[in-house]
Amino acid sequence: MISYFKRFTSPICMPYWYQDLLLLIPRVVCGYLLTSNFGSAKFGLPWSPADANLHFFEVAFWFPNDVAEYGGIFKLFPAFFAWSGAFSEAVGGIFLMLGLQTRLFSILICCTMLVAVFMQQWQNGLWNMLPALGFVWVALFYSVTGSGRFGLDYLLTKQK
Amino acid sequence: MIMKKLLTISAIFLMWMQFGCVQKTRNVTIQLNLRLAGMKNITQVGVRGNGKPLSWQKDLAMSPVIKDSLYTVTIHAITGYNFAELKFTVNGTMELDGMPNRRVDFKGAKSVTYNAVFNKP
Repeated sequence: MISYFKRFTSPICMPYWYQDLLLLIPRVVCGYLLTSNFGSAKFGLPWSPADANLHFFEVAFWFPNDVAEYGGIFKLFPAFFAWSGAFSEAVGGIFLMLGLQTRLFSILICCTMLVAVFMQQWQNGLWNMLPALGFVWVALFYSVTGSGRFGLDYLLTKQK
Repeated sequence: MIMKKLLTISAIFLMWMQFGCVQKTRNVTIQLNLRLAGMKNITQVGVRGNGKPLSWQKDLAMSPVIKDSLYTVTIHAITGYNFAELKFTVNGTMELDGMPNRRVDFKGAKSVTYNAVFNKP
């Protein structure tokens, strides 16, 4: 179990360090945008806008209503899906930036963004889907590679 | 035994996720009064904004108190926020083009009255 967890955490490193450095940029930018903007607007974090009146780890009141409108299983458990989606954006963004449990949070972010693309933005056309699609591609990439050399996963799992 | 504990913890967690983790809402009554100065032939006056029953796509119609001069609407909102952002429209044209939205603050209040003059921030 522990060795499986370690293998899941351990990143794939590029042949040269500068390649890992370049691949750090989309991870940090996307993580920052997710946690500072998209996520914190609907999930209570210390840097959520004060106007939003959100308590710590609380999901905004309007988000479960939006999620329920997707229908099906989302209508059955709107608060669960809304909280999970907002958590994966707001908290997942931090973990993505730090490169901590990168694969796990990339998968969560990828799932959340796929829901946003297909359930929320599909009728609004390709242009409106682009932000969520952008995060899908980034999260998909890091769900395969992990954090690379410049992340906490690397430090935690590197062989001594 | 471990399985039973795991199931109990999962059930509590799911219950909390379903009911306890959502921002609390409250009922707020907002009365909007809009004064129009020097305007004639007004067919429709409305308000747009964030949070139901307002919307940025569609007008919420306002009723005339004095035709072509004073219009009003009362909104019953269920919200978790302490403010609402809005703009007024006359004959489908939105006011304050390129300027910030109007902001109605209602922190700690159950009802609030907001008086405005069209196109004047």
